[in-house]
Amino acid sequence: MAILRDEDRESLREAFADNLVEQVTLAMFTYSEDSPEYDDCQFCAEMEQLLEEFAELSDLIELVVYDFEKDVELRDRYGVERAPSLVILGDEDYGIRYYGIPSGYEAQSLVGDIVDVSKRDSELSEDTLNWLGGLEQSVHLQVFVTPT
Amino acid sequence: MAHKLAMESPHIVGDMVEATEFPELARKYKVYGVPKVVINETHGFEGALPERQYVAEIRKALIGLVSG
Repeated sequence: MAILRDEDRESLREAFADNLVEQVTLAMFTYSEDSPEYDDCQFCAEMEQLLEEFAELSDLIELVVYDFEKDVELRDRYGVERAPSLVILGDEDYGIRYYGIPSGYEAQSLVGDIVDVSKRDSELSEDTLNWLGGLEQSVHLQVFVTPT
Repeated sequence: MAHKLAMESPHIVGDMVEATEFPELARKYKVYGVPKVVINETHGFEGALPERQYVAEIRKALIGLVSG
């Protein structure tokens, strides 16, 4: 059974057709079905299905699924510490991560992120961009949400 | 907001964390209400802030002012 409702799927398809410019890659890290961790992973299958449904909505959205336990080099390169997780890539890694299934409020964020990355434009204000241009310290932001 | 900031700086990484799937993290950072934003594992604020205030919270955290 599909996760996205038909009407949502169609309005997203249209929104993406109107707004996407460049290629976006959704890189998901998950446990393989052979892994002992798979049965305990509450949302691994569902998150993969959701991201497949998103990828189907535009030729500019590509899903690649990696094995959290086996694709160690890639996992370490992106600094991904848990699964299921998602890294959103454009021409480069922007440091955009999701840990756990993006649902409810987070699904809106996911749509927004895909559009921003595809446009290669965050739409942040000039003041913020000026500050960011001079920022040299590392910042790790962890935003906690719950499924709504 | 976290992901927009991450896009525009190589020094920023933004994680959206679904708290019910990672309860040990939610406990570690004393997440009682969402959204809660944790900055550099040491500072935090609850609720959604507009861009200007969000940036201000990060700047406060970076110079070591305690918040949340």
